[in-house]
Amino acid sequence: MTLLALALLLLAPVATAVACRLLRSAAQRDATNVAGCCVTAAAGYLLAAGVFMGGPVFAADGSLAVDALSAYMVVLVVTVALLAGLYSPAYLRHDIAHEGLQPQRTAEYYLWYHLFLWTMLLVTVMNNLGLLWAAIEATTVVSAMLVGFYQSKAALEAAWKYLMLCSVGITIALFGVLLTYYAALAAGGPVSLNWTDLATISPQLDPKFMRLALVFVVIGFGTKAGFAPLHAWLPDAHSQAPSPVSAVLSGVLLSCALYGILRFVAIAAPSVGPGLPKALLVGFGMLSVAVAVPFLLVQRDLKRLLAYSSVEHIGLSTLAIGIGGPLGLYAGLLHLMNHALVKAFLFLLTGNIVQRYGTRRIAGIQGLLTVAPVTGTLLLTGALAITGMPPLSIFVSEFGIVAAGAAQSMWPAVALVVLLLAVSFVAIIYHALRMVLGGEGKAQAVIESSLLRRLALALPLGGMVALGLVVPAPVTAALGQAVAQLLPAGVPAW
Amino acid sequence: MPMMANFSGGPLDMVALALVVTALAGALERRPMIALGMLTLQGVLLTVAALLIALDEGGAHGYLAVAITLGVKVVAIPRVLRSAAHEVAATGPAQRLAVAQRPAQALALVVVLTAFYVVGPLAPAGLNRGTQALPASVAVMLLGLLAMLVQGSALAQVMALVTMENGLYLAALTATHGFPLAVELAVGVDALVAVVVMGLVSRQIHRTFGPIDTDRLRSQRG
Repeated sequence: MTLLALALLLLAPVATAVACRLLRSAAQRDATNVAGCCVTAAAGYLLAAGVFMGGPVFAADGSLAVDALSAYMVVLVVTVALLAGLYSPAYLRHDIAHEGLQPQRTAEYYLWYHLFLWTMLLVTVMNNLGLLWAAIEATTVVSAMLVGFYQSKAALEAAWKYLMLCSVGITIALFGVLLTYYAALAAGGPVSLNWTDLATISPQLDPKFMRLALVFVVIGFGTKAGFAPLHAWLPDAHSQAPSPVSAVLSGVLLSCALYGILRFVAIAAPSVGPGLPKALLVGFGMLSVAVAVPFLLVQRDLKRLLAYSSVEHIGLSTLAIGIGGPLGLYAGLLHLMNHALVKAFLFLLTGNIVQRYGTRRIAGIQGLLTVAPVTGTLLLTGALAITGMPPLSIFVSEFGIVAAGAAQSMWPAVALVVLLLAVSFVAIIYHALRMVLGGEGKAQAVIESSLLRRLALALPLGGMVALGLVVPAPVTAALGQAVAQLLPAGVPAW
Repeated sequence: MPMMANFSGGPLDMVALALVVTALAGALERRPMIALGMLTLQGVLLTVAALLIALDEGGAHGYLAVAITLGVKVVAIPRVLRSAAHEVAATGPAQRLAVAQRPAQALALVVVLTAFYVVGPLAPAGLNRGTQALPASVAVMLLGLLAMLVQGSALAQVMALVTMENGLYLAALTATHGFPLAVELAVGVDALVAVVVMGLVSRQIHRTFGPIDTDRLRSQRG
């Protein structure tokens, strides 16, 4: 049953992509997209439930391995992809009606969208580090087509920057994988590069090679995860992509790259000790938060504001994982989920706002509470959620991160993070208030509405409220298993 | 057995050094057709390296690696880039570099020497077939990175990326058994797809901006 779900999970996106490319009627493509997203999500949930209850699953001769951490990532990916997939049809219909988008181009959109979903799922289930690498590279190539979807000057520019910077990063990461392979051969270990095999010999790996490998991998995948100062491509790509795509890019793609780093750290740490991995993760995490926050203050573009906020939050997760301990890891992973839901919600909501006002400039968006009271209220709620106000979900994980830092007496880091979080609160609430208050803004198109589009906003809203009140026992249990996978065996100091 | 290892070590070192020379020549080249020629030559050298290893090792895996290298690095990638190179060569004068030629050349030499100085001692005895292969591959990678930084045109940047990958590929080939075949295949296909997509995007940029020049891609700040 679980294996069946795994097979379906990897087949459904490809089948949907091909079907959407071939179908002639736009309405049929919309319906196929929604059906494909639902099937993929259902398969993902079944698989995850199977793994959480029945333990890790292996398939295809051990090339595919799904443990609790993979299953957790699968849940995040299919959830955000489902939300953005439900949202997309009405969003695209609006672009066709008002922005001059050719109706047949939705075929292209859905093709790349589902292939993009497929490559992210491959990242989460690949056992071989080399193939994991290839899958991460594939996510860049496929999603670049979506970033450049509008084919405007700015969109093409963003797609190009994204392709080049992330490809350079990923090439550097491959060198790290190669060094690991050297080390495994020298240790007389298995030549498979499967992380399940490497984990069994990780203490014997030559630290001289693993240290170098770790640095290469963290920098390489870190470029893709949006670590500062390697994030230059991120605000461009996340702001130029169609809003539902931005939701997926910010919500889960960054986490997929971070997942690659985590798999690697778990293998490298027993060889090189906890010092270097912790220094790298805490360093990049802190730096990302510190670099992103000033850009939140001075931001003039709504989508770029959200993009910089993603740099901040991926930094927070990375910091938490670097702080380590069961609490740090737990908070870091939980934060990935909370951020995925809230950021997906915000980017989808931004799709509504941008289509209504015809601009992404914050100054051009005014009087949202008067013009569209529901949207205005939701934007304020989202702003409070992303800045970590109780009783919404991000408060819980951010509190966990700060507590983990305090538990390890990392006081300077804790103080700095709290200060930066306060500044980011001021920045985001300030921008949000500018948009929801004031007189009626200028151009207000009536946006294409649909039940699915509203559902795509209602679901994550419910999620962030519920997760803020209580983290359900099954989620805690699943996270506990994922944390256990991550805590590198024989590295007591983590 | 040690004799066998030496047999492939000598010629392999020559190939590795030749690869560094082509990368050095290609990295700062401003005429696209010549740069593409250097890139194709790198593909040929990598194929020779794969062949040397296959001959030494025997077995189907090695020859498959030769076929993949030949197909991707010598045939497919240069082919995708050729039409773009023709367009660029036809539309304008030689492309600009971000820094002057002389200092860039000096920097390139420094990069190569640094790679050999730093990585040379690290080459693990018995693991590497050619003693120069690992430092050479790092040098080629860094030259690609340098080219990425100083070259202004979209096409030259793609070629810089392929150069970086070639450096890596050399290191992968010369590890005792090469990467496992599945990985080699995935990496090869990925590289090819990446180049195709970059070709698509750079063509769209060409249509939107006229001659491809990333110097004009500077509208987004902050």
